Amino acid sequence: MDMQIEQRDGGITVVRLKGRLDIAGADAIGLRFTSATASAAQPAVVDLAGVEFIASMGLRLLISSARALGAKGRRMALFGAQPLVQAVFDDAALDQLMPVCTTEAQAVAAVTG
Amino acid sequence: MTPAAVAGPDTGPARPPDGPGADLRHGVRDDAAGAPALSAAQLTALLDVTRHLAAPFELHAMLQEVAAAACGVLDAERASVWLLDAAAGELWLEVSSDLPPLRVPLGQGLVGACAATRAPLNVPDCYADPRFNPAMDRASGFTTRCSLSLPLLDHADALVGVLQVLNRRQGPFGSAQVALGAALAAQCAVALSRVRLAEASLAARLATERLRQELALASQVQQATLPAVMPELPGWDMHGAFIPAEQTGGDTYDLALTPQGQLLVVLADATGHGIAPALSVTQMHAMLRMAMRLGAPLEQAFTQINDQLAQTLPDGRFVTAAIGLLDPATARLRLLSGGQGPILHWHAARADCSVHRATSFPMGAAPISHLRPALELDFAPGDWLVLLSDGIFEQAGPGDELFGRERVMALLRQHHGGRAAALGQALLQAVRNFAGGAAQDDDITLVLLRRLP
Repeated sequence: MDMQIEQRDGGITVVRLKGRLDIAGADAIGLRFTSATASAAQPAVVDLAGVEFIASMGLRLLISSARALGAKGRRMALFGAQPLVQAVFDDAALDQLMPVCTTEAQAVAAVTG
Repeated sequence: MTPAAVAGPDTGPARPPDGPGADLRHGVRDDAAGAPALSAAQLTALLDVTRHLAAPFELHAMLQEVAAAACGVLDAERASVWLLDAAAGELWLEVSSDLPPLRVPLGQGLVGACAATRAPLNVPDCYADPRFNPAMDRASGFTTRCSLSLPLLDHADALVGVLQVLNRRQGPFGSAQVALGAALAAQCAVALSRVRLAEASLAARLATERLRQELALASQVQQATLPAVMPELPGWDMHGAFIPAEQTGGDTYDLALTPQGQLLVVLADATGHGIAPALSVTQMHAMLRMAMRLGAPLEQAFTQINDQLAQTLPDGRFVTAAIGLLDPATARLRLLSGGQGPILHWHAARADCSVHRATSFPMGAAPISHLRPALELDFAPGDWLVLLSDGIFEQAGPGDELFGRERVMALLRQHHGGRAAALGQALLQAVRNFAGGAAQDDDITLVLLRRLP
């Protein structure tokens, strides 16, 4: 599981993930992901184009980070999910917890609007 | 100025090379300080003792054997074995079974000094040595004249304790006795090490066994929360199964008739598997059952339970759960699902499946501010409700492929005309076959409900 962090103009964190977000993957990036998103206390968007698979522990990481960030008054949005991953999001009604967008631009709008 | 204690060979005790059967003479002759070689008689005595040291498996017996051996080999009146408590930085001696052991800090007293220097300490006149503590003599009525303290160093050169031998009958200990004592101490150290290792490993094995029993009990407790038998509901056939990946699991299900005559249908899956999620999911299940007993409406029960879980579940954990109430009179199922999906409704007339997603996010992820409306599924004769946990859809098979939705549909098409238990069996068997020899890596749970044709 790989993770890259970028900063966008206007103080937005972009996290790009690559690999499988299963138990091992979630474990591997857990702390870094939380610190890049929740601890940074600024709006965050997560690029999931490189994520081939997600299981409940991966969902948990996204949910807990979004929640922690929400407690600081900031939003987190996901974008670019592959069909298999999008299906998991749909089945879990994840969009009721955080914006699930198609493009980066949409995600940025969702967290700053 | 007190006379300096006569130390043994300053290079340390003569050490036999390795383990039982080693030729003791080599170690002694190689001693650079030129200590006298042991006599044949002494060597025989030493070998004899070594044989005896192999016998005890219990620490107390071993200590007695060592003390007796030291007295015998060195012709002394008394010997004691002080053991090292590394964590406390102390040496301890068990004097009797009903008194607490004596304790001496490392560096203190004769045994403490021996332990600190890891070298034999030969004191021909103990009362003349300021490190000697006469209190023990006073307490026991024994009069210590001379003492030889020998460090017990095991095969890894770690200090195990100190062997202290008192009052050689023929007079103060000489260098010959120091050499012999050192050889004996080496044997004793290894034997002691062995016994302590065996005891530690036994303790560890007992702890593991206790844990295994606790888990088995936890498993029983969890199984007891599941329906023992399927409810009898005329016109309906149903089946549920829960197969945890470990002894306890993070899934649960329920099929139960409520006091109001409705059928409660539940499938729930807590994040992870093992003990912690088993506790979460059992808690959720208990809350739900209570809500049903109290006649709470579905929406209220769902919201309250969700919000309660949002407060109590740690750290982003959640429970996906599909909770429904079937009114047998109208054959309508009202279902709320927090993150549990897909929900499959097989239509007998069309011979195909509607696939529904969850109505709400996973339970406990956040408080509910605005509950979306429940799914309302109307069951025609022959229709099925199929709820499966992700352990089925996500079972990995050859080449990293997942079992997936299509295989489930195929099995439904094949078995929709039969009993719910038969479909359940077929699903489980198919998943097992698909997994090949691989161990089950996630909990597997299924709930099947059919309106009879």
